[in-house]
Amino acid sequence: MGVRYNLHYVRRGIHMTDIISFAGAFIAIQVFKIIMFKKDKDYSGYDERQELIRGRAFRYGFLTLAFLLAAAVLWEECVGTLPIEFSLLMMACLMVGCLVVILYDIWKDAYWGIRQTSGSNIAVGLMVVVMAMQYMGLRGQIKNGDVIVHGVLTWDGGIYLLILVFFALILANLLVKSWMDKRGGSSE
Amino acid sequence: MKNLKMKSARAALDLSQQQLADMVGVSRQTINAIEKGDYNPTIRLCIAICKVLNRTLDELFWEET
Repeated sequence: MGVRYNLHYVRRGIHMTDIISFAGAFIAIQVFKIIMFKKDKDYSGYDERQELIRGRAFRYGFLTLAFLLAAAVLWEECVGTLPIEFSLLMMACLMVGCLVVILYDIWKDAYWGIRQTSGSNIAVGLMVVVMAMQYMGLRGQIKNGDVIVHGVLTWDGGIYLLILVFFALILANLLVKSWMDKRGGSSE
Repeated sequence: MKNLKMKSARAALDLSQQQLADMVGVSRQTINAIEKGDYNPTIRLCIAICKVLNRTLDELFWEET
């Protein structure tokens, strides 16, 4: 019964437009990276210490994702249904995994590459734009009453909230880290 | 353990961490981490730093017991 219930939500939750949106965002990020490092194709943009940190961050992120996915599925199957659509729950696990990678990189000074000073401003600007778009989308969904239906956080409204929180956390951590660096956290 | 020898060699040439980082092709935070002893650089980076600071590997990276 539980499995059927979950699959029902997976089918209902993810739409073709969502898949196209995510594919579009992924392609946009890859194009952005190519433009930023077009001068040297063999150059990853990070030095040896940063590569080491990023490798460690990916390992922690993967382990977090694996643990959360297992915990979510076990909880749904053994304990009971969470008040959140299953597809949104899976996406939340994925985003937490990504957050672990990004925040670890930020706090270990491995988020921005060596030549990324101008690119970082563009990236922060893009984050703010994405957050504004998500906020507008979320407001629309709240007005329509589509965010929480029958006590369940839906994909349609929840995904805006999830992306908004995701970028807000990244931006907040970037700002705090840069403020701490300026105050002498990694002084000469 | 802090690498004070590297820090003093850099200061002797009146180079900032950022300038040294640019010259050896790493980030400023990496130079900072090496000087603070938080990161052990590869031999490739050690040689690059030695060349820029006009010192030998022994002078900058050999730890006296």
